[in-house]
Amino acid sequence: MTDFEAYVTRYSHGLSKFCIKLCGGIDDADDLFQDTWTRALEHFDAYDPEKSFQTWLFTICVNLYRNAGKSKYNTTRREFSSTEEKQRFFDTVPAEEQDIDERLDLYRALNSLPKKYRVVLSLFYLRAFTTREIAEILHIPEGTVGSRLHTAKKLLKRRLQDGSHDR
Amino acid sequence: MARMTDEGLEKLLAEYYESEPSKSLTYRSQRAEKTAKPPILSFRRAAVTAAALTLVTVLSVTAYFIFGNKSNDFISVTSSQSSTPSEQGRGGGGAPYASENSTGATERQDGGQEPTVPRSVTPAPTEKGAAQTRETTAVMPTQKPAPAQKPTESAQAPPTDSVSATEPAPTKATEPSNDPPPTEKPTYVSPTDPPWNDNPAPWEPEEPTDSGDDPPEPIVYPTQPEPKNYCYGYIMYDGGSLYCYIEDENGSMMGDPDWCSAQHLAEIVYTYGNGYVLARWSPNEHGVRPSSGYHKYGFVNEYGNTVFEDYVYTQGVS
Repeated sequence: MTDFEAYVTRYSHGLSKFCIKLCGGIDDADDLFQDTWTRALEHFDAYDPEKSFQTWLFTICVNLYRNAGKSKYNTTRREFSSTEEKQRFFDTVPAEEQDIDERLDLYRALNSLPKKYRVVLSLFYLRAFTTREIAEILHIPEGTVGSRLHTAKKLLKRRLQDGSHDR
Repeated sequence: MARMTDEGLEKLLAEYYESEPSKSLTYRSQRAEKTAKPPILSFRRAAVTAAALTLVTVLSVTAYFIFGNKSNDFISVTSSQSSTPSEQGRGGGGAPYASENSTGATERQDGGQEPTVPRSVTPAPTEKGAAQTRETTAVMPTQKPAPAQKPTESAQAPPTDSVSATEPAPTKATEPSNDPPPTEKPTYVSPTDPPWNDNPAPWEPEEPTDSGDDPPEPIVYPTQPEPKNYCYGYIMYDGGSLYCYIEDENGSMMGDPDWCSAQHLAEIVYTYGNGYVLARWSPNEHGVRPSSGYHKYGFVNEYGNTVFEDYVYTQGVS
């Protein structure tokens, strides 16, 4: 097994989960997931083994996501256009525990957020990175990570309360 | 939804993000390798093909001038050795391009062996067609071969006068000028377009797809404005005042205007010649400020850390 294959084995699960949560749909997530590994493979020579591979990998993923157009990796929008699309969404979360309407509201509210807030929320609640590592991935000061989290949650809360994501 | 507490939202987010998706994505390495194949391979392949064609041309011309005057023998040998598909591409001196183009394979199969006699490049048709081909086709070794689909047409065509089976035709380009010309002028039929020009291997990228970006991609401040399509909020400058807007993804106003109002903008630090300004301001009491531009210094977080200032590099309006 090559080094790269070993990394794929080790980090695919985390990256897969991150892409699904970030994009909100399996198809978009799969595109982002594959593109990230492809880019990582292309630039694997540039990876510094002294640094965290996971941070490097997620930096690629976030850059791809942020630098893409508005619609790329986010074709799933606030409303489900079909039963199949709705089913695809619910395939991404376990059916037990949460109230289905509450999850749907959260999903819609998250998808209505600007990309940069979705990114910081996904990175933070994935529990895989420290705030410092998130700052490194996003190329922003560590404090800005906190600021964006604060703003993201504030926006989210407001949209969940008044349903503004439906407008 | 009813009023949500901070704790409630925190719990909801934690449950959402920590829940495991019922489906997991799998890395498809084949797709990556296909995409990541370096363009140099196509150049290398082209170079090998060109070198092989040159070698075959030289050998074919040499063979022609050895056997060329015995034209009947030449054609006889040529026809008898290009009979079946299984023989082609197995080595033994077949023309490399004949093997490549008759099978559509991307790798040459001639093994680089030197042909003892020139062979027809016409791919072998069916048995019936082959019999006719022996009589009708005498494409010279130095000619470019017809596409793989052509043999059937060739085999079905009645024996014509267009190519004389007894008149091997050297190509003008490869004929040495100081050697005596053949005793009879052959009738030359121009071959169809060479298949290697229009038939690239399916994995060959038509153009480089790699943008060459090396992650991570640090933001250069402040000479590079953020792309408009990534701005969800921006500052507008009318030559005297700064105005702030925050837009949602559809371009409409969103949020509380108080979050981002001109009163929080302290000053314009520098006005660029291209209509951009570098502005500095303090966030409002909510710790919220325009989300676009390049935030160089200062921030507010939920823990009440001191905020100093923030910068934005933004496009003005005339």
